[in-house]
Amino acid sequence: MSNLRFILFLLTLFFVHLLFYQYISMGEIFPDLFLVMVVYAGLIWGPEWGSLTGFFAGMAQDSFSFTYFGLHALAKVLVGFSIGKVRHSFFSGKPTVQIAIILAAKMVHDAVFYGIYLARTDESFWRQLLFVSAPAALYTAVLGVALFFLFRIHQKSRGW
Amino acid sequence: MSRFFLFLWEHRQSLLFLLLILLSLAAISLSGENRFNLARQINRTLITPFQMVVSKADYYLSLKQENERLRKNNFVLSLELYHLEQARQQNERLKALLDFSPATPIHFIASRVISGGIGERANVFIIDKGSRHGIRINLPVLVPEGLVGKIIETDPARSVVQLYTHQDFRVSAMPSGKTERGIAGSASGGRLYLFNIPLRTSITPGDLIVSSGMGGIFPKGIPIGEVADIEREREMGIKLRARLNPSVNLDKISELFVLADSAFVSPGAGILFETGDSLNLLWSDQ
Repeated sequence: MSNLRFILFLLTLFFVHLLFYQYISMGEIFPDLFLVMVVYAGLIWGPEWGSLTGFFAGMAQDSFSFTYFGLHALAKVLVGFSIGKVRHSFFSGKPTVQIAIILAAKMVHDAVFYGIYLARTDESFWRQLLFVSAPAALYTAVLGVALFFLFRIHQKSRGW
Repeated sequence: MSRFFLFLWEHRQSLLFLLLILLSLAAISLSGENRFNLARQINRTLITPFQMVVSKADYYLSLKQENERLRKNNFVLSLELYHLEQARQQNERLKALLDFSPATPIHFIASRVISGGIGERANVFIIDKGSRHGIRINLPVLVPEGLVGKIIETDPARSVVQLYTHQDFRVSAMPSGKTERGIAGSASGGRLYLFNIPLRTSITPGDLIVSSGMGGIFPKGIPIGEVADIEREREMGIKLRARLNPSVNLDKISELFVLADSAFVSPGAGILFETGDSLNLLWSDQ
């Protein structure tokens, strides 16, 4: 993939996320579409693009977090790189496999994020992971599979 | 030299990964002010232009629906206005009889939320009004239900609101109708508390906690939340803290008000109400 396409990919990602973020939340459960893009980049283009996408997407999210700047980027770089490294072992076109991959990626992402975020607080890490991250991961995974499908159609039509 | 570059090329994946991890860690370990400035810079350059487009599109799409609703409201409000005018005239007459001192006008700037942040625990809103509309740092932000937060950053056309769920947010507060004071703010995880309550307290579950007017930022009487339960503070143990159910549900806010200093507001700003030294008239704080 050329650099220009990568930048276009990121800009599309920004736009989609900013346009739909507030409309697709279900009460307290927010999907992480940026993570879907990171997983996608890792799966299709490997660890370099996975970690780069993770870094830029994370930094964009971090620009809203005036306290823990860099934490989203760290978690997403780890996820993007890891997915890219092991992609050949498990990647398949089956929606159930894709759901499982995104679900696992979101849980790992949140484990890293909240592991650091809640380290010096009295809030329960496991409670956060079980009652907030798990439902959000499931929701992100379902939306993610739909996005995967759209991206694949778009790529095939462009002959990428 | 060529072997060095060959080495770099062969290990580019791992090196890039390490570089990005180091950059992220460097960002996390930045000091408060540098971190804030960098976040602000990225936000301004990358995110704001998109948010403006999205916000404008959303605004125009909802315009027709809004117009219908406003037309209906207009009729009802016209009737109410007539009755209020009668009441105001009566109020003026009674105040003159009782020799009340003149009331101070408080201005507000109505704003729309452009974005509620896009990450975990962002705890900020970006709003569509900025310094050219009279908004300055530390101005209180609220909705009719109560306190939302305060302004922490302004540009000419937009501002950043620090929400009450932000871990750095603090406001001097008191139970409505009682004299004890504490500090309201968020503990870890955005949960709202009233801190620093003495062990012998008259505060009980169900009490409405309002801003006390101390501290010079928030006027007295803005509802913050209702006491859910009271427990000992974990670090000290010699004070109590009360867990609050917030008066304002931040998930449902799309429009809000910034209480402005009358010396700085633009001609477009409205006058919310008139009162002496508190917001009693607006929220009927006893």
